[in-house]
Amino acid sequence: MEKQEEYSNKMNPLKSWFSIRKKSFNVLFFSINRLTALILTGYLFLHLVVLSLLLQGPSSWNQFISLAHSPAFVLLEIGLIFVVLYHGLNGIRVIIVGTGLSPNLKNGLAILFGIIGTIVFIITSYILITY
Amino acid sequence: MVEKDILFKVFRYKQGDKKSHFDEFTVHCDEDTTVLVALQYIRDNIDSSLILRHSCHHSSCGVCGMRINHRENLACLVKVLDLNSSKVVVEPLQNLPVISDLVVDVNPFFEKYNFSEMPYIRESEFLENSAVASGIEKHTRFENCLECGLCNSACPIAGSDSSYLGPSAMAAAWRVVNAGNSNSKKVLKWVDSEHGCWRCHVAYECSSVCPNNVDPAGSIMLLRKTLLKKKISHIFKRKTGDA
Repeated sequence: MEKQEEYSNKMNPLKSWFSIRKKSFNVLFFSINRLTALILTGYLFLHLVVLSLLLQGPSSWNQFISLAHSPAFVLLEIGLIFVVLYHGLNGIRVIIVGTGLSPNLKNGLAILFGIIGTIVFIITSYILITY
Repeated sequence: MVEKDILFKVFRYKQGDKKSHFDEFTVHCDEDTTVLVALQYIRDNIDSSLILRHSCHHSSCGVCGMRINHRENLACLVKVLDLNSSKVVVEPLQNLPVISDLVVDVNPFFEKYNFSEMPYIRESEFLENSAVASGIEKHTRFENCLECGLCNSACPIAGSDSSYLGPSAMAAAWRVVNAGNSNSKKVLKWVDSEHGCWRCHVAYECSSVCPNNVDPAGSIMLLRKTLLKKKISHIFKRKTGDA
């Protein structure tokens, strides 16, 4: 008897992590957390590549520094601040909720850290733009 | 009474098919028509090859779980017109192999309960007399679990880790631990792994879709809290012993 092919509609991890259609806010927080984690991992490698410019002498480094002062780079840095703030603050929320310390505070903590994150983001972005 | 023609976009797959597809059916619905009734109408009057699983029609059996407009639900609970949409997309549960159309193989789901000393089936507390056994109240939420699998389908981690025990099995595990059964230590050891309660990433979607408010995510957090307390007290005991 011919073995029938078994169909599985199992999602792939990326689709599973980023399917937010008709989902609750907690899934949105989870998805953004995954996305920021991937961005930060990519940034870590980029950071190492940039630092490796030092090995090529002062001219390469100075060239990079002049690029770092361009408006586009400042925008990218503002984006990075958002990513770091979101991932860090949501991480603290997940630790507090996920260790069972205060599972009922998950929404309250999201609001609290959302307010803290927004204030810090606005201040640091202002400093970056006006520096 | 409000009546409308609703377009149903239904997931189709038969054993041996290389790809799945969606078929469209129009069903005349009134205020009382549930998605399950509409699907039965399609099977009885339009396409007898449509395969779906159902039993009680009143959310007691939990077998008609499926994805309705991209959200896990029991087809017998959802009234079509309450969806406020002229189109209803019906798909099988995720993270389980599809047998045919809307029917998934639930064996992998129930295998997650297959811990040797877990009292999956236990004696009834209600047979000897009709009085409610004292202390039963704290178990009410677990006893509400239909084992419908909606939580496992909605969980983003179950979609990326096939070895993950899943919300429903861990809700059952918490019930054993919370009851203080003699094998609670073994159950705690069972869930204390990278594919157990520590794999959950607090998306809480399992609790969000649960039709009986069992709150599996809450149970996972309580398992973690219990384990954390044990681990911390173990560290301090060991330090005291070393001194």
